[in-house]
Amino acid sequence: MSIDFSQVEFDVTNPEPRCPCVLLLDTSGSMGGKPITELNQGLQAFQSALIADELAMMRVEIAIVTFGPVNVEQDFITADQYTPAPLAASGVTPMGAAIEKALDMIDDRKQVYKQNGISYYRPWVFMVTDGAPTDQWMQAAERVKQAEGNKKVAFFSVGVEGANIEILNNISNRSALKLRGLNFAEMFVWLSSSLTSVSHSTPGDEITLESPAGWGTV
Amino acid sequence: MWQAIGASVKGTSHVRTGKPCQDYHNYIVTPNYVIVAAADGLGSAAQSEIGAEVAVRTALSTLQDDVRLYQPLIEDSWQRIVREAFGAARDAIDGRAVANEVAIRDYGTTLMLAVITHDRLVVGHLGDGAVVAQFDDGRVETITAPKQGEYANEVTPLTAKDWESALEVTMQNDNAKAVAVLTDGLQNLSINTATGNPHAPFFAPFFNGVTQGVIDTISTSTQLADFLASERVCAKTDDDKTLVVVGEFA
Repeated sequence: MSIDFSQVEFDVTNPEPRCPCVLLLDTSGSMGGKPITELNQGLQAFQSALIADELAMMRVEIAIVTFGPVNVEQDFITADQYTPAPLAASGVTPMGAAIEKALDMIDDRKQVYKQNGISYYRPWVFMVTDGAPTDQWMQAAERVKQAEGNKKVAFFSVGVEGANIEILNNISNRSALKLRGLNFAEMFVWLSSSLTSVSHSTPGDEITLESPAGWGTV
Repeated sequence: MWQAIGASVKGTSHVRTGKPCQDYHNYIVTPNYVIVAAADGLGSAAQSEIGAEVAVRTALSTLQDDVRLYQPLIEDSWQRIVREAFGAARDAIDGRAVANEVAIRDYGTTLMLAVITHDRLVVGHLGDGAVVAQFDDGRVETITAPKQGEYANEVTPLTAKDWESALEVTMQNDNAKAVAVLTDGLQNLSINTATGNPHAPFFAPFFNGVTQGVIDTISTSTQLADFLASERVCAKTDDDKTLVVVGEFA
C-alpha cells in the first residue's frame, strides 16, 4: 500500500485574502498642471509595481476617491484588474467629506468580505493633498483617530508642497509625510512594496515598513 | 493498528528570505492511542522555530505521561490533561525565554494537540491551522477550524497573555478512523474558507492510504515532504506547511 500524492486535489474555490487600500487623492484646482500629470504617472507606476508580484496582484484591492469634489473614481478592484484612468484637477478641497467616504467604503467592503468568507488584512487609507480642507474636517478626524485606535484601519497622509501639514497631523495619529517635490512615482512604488509585504504576511507577522526617505520626509 | 505519517516543510517565502522552517511536529503511536502535536512559529517572532519545537516536545511528553497514568479517563479529565499539556508547553517556553534572556514573544507559536483512542478524539487548538477527521461512517469533518483574529495576519499565540481564553478544547466520543493535523500553510488548499468544511478530495488519498492497509510510514513521510515541497503545492502557498495524518486499519 502507498499514497498516490497526484490524487490529492486542492480547493480551488477559496478566494485569496484581500488587502484593501483606498487612495484618497486631492484633485482640487491647485493640483492642475504638472502635479496632476505626475500624480497620473505615479498611479501607472503603482499598478505596474503591484502586478509584478503574483500574490499582491490578486490580493491588493485598490479603490480611488478623489476630492475636489468628492468622487469615487474607482471602487475596490484587485490590482490585476485595475487600469489607471487619468485624473483631472478642478474645484475646492472637501477633505473631511472625502475621508468619511473612504471610511464608509472600507466598512462596506469588510461586510462584503465577511459575507463571502474572504479573509482580509487591515485596510489602508493613503491620502495625498496639496492644500487644506475647505469643509468641516474635525468629525472625520475623530473617526480616523478612533478607527486607528481600534486597529480598524491604517491611515497615512502625505502633503505635497503647499499642504497644511499641521491639519494633516491633527487628522491621524501617524505623522504626515511631506512629499519631496513631485516624487509621486517613487511614493507609489513605496506604497506598492509596503502593500506587497502586507499581502504576503501570515498570522503574527508584524509589518515593518520601509523608510519613505526616497520620496518624502516626516 | 494505528499508523502515522508527517512532514514539516519550509515555505518558498522562507527559502527566499533565508528564514528557517518555523513549523514543527511530532507524534507518538502506541497500540491504544496516538498523540499528535503540531506548531507554527510566528513569522514576526525572532526565534519562533525554537518556540514551536519546545511547545511540541513539551506538550507531547506531558500528554503521554498523563495518558499513561490516567487511562481510562472520564470526559472532564481528558479536557483537563489537554489543557495542562498546553500549560506545560507555555511554561517550558517561558523557562527557555528566561534562561536565554529573550522576550517570550520571540518564541511566539501556535499549537495543536490531538489525542486519538479507539472511542475518543480529543483536540486542543490555539491559533490557526486545522484538525480534520474521518469517522467510521465515512463522514469527513473539521474538528477544529483556524482561529484567526479579524485580520488574515492576526492570531493569538501560546506566548500571548490571554492564551488560555483563546484555547479551544473539544472532544468527540466517536471512533475517528483517520485524523489530519495541518498548519495554516495548507489551509487554503484543504479547508473551504467560506464554510470551514474540509475539502474532501484533498484528504481522501491520505485517509485512504493510512486506513486501507499497512504502509511504510518512514518512506511515505519522506514522499509527503517531497509532495509538500512540490511545485504544485508551492504555487498555492508560500508559507511553511505541516501535515500529519493518522489512520487505523483492521
